[in-house]
Amino acid sequence: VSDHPRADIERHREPDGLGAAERAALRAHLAQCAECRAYAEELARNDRLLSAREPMRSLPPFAARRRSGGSVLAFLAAAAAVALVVVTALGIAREGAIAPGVGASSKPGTSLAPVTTASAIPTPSAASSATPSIAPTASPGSSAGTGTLSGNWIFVGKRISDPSAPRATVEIWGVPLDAGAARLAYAYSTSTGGAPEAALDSAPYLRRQFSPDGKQLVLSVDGELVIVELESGRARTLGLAGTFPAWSKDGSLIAFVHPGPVGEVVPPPMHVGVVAPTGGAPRDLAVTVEPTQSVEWSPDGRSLLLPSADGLALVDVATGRVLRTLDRVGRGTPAVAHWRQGGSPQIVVVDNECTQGNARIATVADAAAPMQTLVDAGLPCDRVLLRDPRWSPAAPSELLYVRARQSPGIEPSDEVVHLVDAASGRDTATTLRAYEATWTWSGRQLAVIVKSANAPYGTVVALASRSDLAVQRELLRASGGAVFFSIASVNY
Amino acid sequence: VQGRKEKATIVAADASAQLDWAMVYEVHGPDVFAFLRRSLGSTALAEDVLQDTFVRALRAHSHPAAEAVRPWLFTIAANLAVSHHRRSRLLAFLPFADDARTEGEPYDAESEQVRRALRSIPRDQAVTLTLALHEGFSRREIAQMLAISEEGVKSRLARGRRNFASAYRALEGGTT
Repeated sequence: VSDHPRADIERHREPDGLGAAERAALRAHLAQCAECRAYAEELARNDRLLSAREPMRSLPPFAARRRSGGSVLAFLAAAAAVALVVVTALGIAREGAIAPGVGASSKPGTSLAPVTTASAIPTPSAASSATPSIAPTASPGSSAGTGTLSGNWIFVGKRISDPSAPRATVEIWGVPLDAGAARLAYAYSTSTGGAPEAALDSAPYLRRQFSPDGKQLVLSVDGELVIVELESGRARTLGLAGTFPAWSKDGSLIAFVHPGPVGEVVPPPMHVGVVAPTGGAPRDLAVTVEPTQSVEWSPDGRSLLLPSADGLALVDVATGRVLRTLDRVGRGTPAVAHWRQGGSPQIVVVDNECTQGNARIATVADAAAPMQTLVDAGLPCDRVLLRDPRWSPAAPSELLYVRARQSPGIEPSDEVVHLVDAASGRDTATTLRAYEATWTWSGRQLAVIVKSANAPYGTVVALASRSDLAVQRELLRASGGAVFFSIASVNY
Repeated sequence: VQGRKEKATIVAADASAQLDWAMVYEVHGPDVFAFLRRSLGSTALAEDVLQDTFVRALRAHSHPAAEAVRPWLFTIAANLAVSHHRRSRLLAFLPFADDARTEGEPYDAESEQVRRALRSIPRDQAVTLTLALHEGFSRREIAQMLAISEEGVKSRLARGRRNFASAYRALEGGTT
């Protein structure tokens, strides 16, 4: 295949994609290569297909949506005053006549919204209220709680999709490893489609969302931040719109993602804010380029890692200042870094930007040290996906990560759990196929979401021995289309 | 191109100092909707992003001159489309099966196939291909819209064509 100038054929689809000499060489090759001629014809046909007009659909009414269940979408919660104007105007549009917008003149036969005054246009100062507050509501979910938590528990997220609507039920299950049956810690209904802020946090990355004592969990339920007391099942909203929360390891703050200030349009900004777990006024820290990732906190709670345009940025929480940027890592997967307390190195990251040629696992000794390649995956980033590195809580030099195969146009597949000895750099592919994996607190077992062959996520949660990697027991099994999507190990 | 100029004129004539949003939605909404439906592959998702596009446009501090409204709206829509679904593992759960046709609505199997193929390639490539080939924007315009270099646009178009070819071929063979 490498003898065939496929890249040149692709570039030749653009008017100035090739220089004169390259064009001549390509023509000569095409004259004697049937396979390349076929590819060139295929690309030409595809361009025609892509250029053909999309069949007309009736334009939807310009109306803001509310999902069934009554939760306010996060993007509408931003800037309540402006949203009120917009929603009011749009409500009239829904009746069939599109109302003139803010400041527009009345047209015959068109209804006017009652509050569309020019003074309602947001001012820069009004726009600075970036972190949207919404009235706290009663608990949006339900549970009897786990009861007393002690010993080592494995928590998993389970999702049951609603085939009739873009919604799903999310259940957080806890399994005590010492004894006892699995318990439903909390359950709630959430949107899985629609506005991005509501749609993209319906499979929370649990590891970062526990309080330091493991007895509380912060969730984003339909774009609202909710804290769950796991033992009792009681939940309270923080009265804030936000997604992808992460609880600081010192317990003092919760970082979350939310739409940027009103008025900023291009590119649509997503901000990372912080708020105390007890509620109160949130504070904006930085803009993130990955609106679907939570941040990784430092063990002391003074800084955090978040994806910026230049890479994984280390941000000082007190000032919002970027202290350093770790190359161009931090993209493409929900979990790219793990920062542990103590040990050396402290930080492990996955490089899915191929800054050094191939995908790789890299470490950073501490917040100030340079990045060091630990594992070179041996393949470029369009062929392999590395994700979710996690340090062992018991073996100082051991970590795990999940490696998946990638091909253009298909979802990642063939997920395999790898173990790495950080001291020697030895990378071992295990026999465990898992979507996500974590450690038991002793370090002697791995808890994994076994990857389903033909579906995303997994339907079985199992415990495997670290020594021989044999599956010892099944902790949970899902049926009826339900899937497990995230796993975390908590020690009490 | 002529059609676009006429549309710009309509908006400008009716909105000397301020945009007539009703007219803007009427004139440009269908094009933005078609672009989103094609590049996102889902009608429901396209409807939501269309709403979001116009909500953000309405909220903007300043608005462009009437003749620049079209690329401005496409800029917002394209960036929203690119940024919405980077977490690809969730794609399988989005309501793509909701494209049920209403009675009397035209159905184009080829177009549906194109949407399915676009849906399976990286979103930034699908959006760039659609902006270039379906909407006819130049590389320079797309570069400005997506805040990337023209070389970046070229690269996305090349990779997009390759991945689209692979995805469309798989659909033709019934192997997806």
